[in-house]
Amino acid sequence: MGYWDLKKKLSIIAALILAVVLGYVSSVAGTHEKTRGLSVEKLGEIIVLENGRKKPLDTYARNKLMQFSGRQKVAGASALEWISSVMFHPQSADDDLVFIVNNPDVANALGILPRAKRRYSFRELYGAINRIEDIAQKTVQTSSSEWTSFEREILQTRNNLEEYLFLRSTFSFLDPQEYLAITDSVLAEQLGIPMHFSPSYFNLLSSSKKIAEGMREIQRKGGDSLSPGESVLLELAKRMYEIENDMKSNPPHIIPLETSPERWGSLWGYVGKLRTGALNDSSVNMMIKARDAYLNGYQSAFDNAIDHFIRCTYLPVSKSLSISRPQLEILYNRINPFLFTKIIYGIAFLLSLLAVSSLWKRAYSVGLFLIILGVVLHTSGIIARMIIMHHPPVTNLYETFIFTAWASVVLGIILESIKIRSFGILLSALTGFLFLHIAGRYTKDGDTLGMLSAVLDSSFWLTTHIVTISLGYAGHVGAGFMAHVYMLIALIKKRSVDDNQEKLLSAIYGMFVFGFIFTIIGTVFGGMWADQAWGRFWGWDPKENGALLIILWGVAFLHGKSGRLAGRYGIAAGAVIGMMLVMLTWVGVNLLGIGLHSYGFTSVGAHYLFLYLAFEIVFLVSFAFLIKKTEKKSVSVPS
Amino acid sequence: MFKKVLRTAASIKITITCVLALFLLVVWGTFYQVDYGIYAAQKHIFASWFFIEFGFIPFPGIKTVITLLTINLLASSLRVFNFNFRKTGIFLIHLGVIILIAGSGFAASLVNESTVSLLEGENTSVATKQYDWEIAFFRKSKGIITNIGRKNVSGLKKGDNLEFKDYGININILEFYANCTGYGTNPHTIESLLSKPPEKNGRNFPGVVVNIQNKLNGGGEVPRMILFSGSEAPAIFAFGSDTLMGILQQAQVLLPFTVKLEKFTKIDHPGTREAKSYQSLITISNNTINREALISMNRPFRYKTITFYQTGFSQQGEAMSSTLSVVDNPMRFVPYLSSIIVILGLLYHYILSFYTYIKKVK
Repeated sequence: MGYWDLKKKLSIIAALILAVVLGYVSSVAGTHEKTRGLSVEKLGEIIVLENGRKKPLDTYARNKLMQFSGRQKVAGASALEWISSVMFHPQSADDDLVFIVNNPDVANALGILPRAKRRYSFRELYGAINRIEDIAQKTVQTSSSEWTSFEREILQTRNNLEEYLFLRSTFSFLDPQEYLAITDSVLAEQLGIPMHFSPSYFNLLSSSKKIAEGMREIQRKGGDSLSPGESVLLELAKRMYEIENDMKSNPPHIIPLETSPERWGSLWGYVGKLRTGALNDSSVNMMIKARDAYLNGYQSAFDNAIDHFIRCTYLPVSKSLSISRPQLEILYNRINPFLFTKIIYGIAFLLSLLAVSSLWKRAYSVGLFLIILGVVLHTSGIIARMIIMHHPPVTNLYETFIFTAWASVVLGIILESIKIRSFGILLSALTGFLFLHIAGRYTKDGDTLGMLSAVLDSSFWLTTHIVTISLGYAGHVGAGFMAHVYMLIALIKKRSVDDNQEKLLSAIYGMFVFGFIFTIIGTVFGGMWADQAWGRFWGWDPKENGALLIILWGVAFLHGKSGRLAGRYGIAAGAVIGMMLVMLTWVGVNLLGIGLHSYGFTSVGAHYLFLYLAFEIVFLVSFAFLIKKTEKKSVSVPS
Repeated sequence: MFKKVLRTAASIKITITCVLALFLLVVWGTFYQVDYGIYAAQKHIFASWFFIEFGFIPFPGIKTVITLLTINLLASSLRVFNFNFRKTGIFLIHLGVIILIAGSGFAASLVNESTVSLLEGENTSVATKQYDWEIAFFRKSKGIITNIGRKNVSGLKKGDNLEFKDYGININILEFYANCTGYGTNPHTIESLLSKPPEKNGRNFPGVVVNIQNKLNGGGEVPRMILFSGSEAPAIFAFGSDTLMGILQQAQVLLPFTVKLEKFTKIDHPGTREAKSYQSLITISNNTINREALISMNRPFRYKTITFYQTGFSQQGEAMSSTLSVVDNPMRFVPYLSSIIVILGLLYHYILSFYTYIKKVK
């Protein structure tokens, strides 16, 4: 095959891949969120204030759906389509299977037949709300450390149902309420509302002037000798007050309060103001128009109403509240860069396996190309998050995985460039894929773009300390992965070491040292930060101890190597143990639930961590056993 | 002989054994902390020479292992060290570690940590220590209160004698309990103390029974005065026309100035009650200085060797109280200096090695 042939083939493959990527990006960027023959894309630009952050409804919908169901879509509909049907036309959404209940015992206890897919509808679960409440009430009276997984899931389900109810009642002031029916003919005539007809809260608002007059009259009388109509009116006013009071502070909060704009409210929080006519032609009315257009399938009326809502609600306060345009975040959501990057790394991993085993020669170039493509997308994702949140790249556990994945991919590329052919991309692809996958597990906790707690509010230290620590993790992880590869090759080849293996060993050592140095620098930065913030450089906090363990292990490892106490396999095993320590410090320390690094307390991943550690122990022990056997053989059978 | 001892002391096997022992102790201490809290873990493992576990088995504490490691480090540097260009990095790393260990050990004896809690508008010139207690005596004569003297109760034991010559007061310790419960007919008069085993988390309530002899102003004796840390009011005894008061209180640290909390501000993330930041505006003043300072998380205020940190706040009815921790540490620079030396050494050494390696590969 001629040189040109090769180049041509390569460029065709590259062009094909590029076309697929561009096609994907442009298709998701321009996706129309369609439902009822109507695109609800515009709705995603509405801003919701939740947990201290102003986020687009697009993000809010994705987080809620993820929280309820652990999925990004429901029955083929996007999160935004789903949330718009919950808000605008709840009856059509109540049968969607959106609530995940993992434990079949929970379904059994609620009298619902467990489903293999573990997802249930609002209607099903709400039918058992009394049982859920019973169990939940009993559970919350005990200490949270004693809760069983069954009880936790019941509480989680109750919480999800409650949040769903809030969403579902966004427009419930428009629903007819039997509760508000007028049972007195005189009063009915006075208010202009037919008797025994169930008016909505909104209907009654139009008669609010007359109700107010009636109430003043009752007040003047001082509550003595009320006519039947007046008693009914008193009861009605009481019920209206109660209902508004119940509903007005529920989420989603989409409108800044005029009096104190740092507090936001829901539509219910504003609808009462229509009574005085103060809110004519504004936020609430626009949303009601949007709902009508949605129900009737009028696209342009829908878009106009939402547009109008956004303009009159956020524009006047956008400067003072620093509301930025949500387009970048929506684009970020659509492209979902880390999922896509993960897939690219996954393909690159398969290719690099082919390359390492020399089964297909082209695999190397294509794999390398994919890795570089992945790292570009990966980097853009990290930068987009930094721009959206105005903060450094790593501020929570989720982001440590994203960033460490990035760092180890880059380390692999560097390794590749100093001629450790194929192994560099193998490292990049595998670590990139795995850590992005782990990061994905943390998205189920809700919004990964969270606000910072007061102690983390220091961009300088966040950047220096956490970024260097993550680089340290990446070095150790890189060394650990390569050590596995090295040990596997040693077992398979059963022969003395060749030049490539020697190079691999020095790469393991090099990455270990890289990790060691950055762990030390990161820990020292952490000490300086602690000295600035808490008044002590070192305080034996579990996370600090974890970093110290990595460092102590590094010290023992390096002295063992320089003192010639550790052989080739000793170095490889040392790197594997270094990686185990990193995982313990990174994920495991958070499981202890004590200490000052509370940004990452979560029980997500506990059993994965234990599985991983068990795997490594089995791996190391069986390696020690097998390598002894193979080395004996190769000694007794001279080649 | 000396050479032989030196060679044994400098063995790299000792280095690795010590490092691995440290490793295990840190793991142990971390789990100990989960069960008993940071105070107990420090006292038991992190800052101890020896500790007993499983009833009777002694284990070396971190201090012992670090001391051994330091001896090993010094011995090996005496034995193998001959200065050359390539070894500069290694030398710096180990020098940094020695400074860190020696400096931290020395600093630990000099650091003084205490806290100040103030409501808006309040001021004080004393800070209190969380785990330390002291007995203090005052005399009230013709409406004027004079300070007789104070004594930290740590290390106090039965039979000790405290003499305050200037006041002609002699205090004899009849009983001392590191942790106890006080009993009395009402909370202000404790009539007996019942000893308890000390708490692992360090939250002990000590008590002491003293005999007081007055040698001036005609003399006199208080045969038995009970001082209990759990009662807030002082014990009072009349000496003729004078009154003698004794109290067992949290140890006080005199500040070289008065601190006044002017304003405390807590800013929440919008729509939540989660703090985005909180800060205290204080004024410090004495004969020579009078200045304002704003303290917040990550932004402490320093005055000479004293540093004030914003550590917490609490709501007391309508008013907010701000808690500042006060650290007086003249050796604050030690970890900075030593870790910078270590890092410079590491970078020098490994960049040099990497450079050599790359040259070899190419």
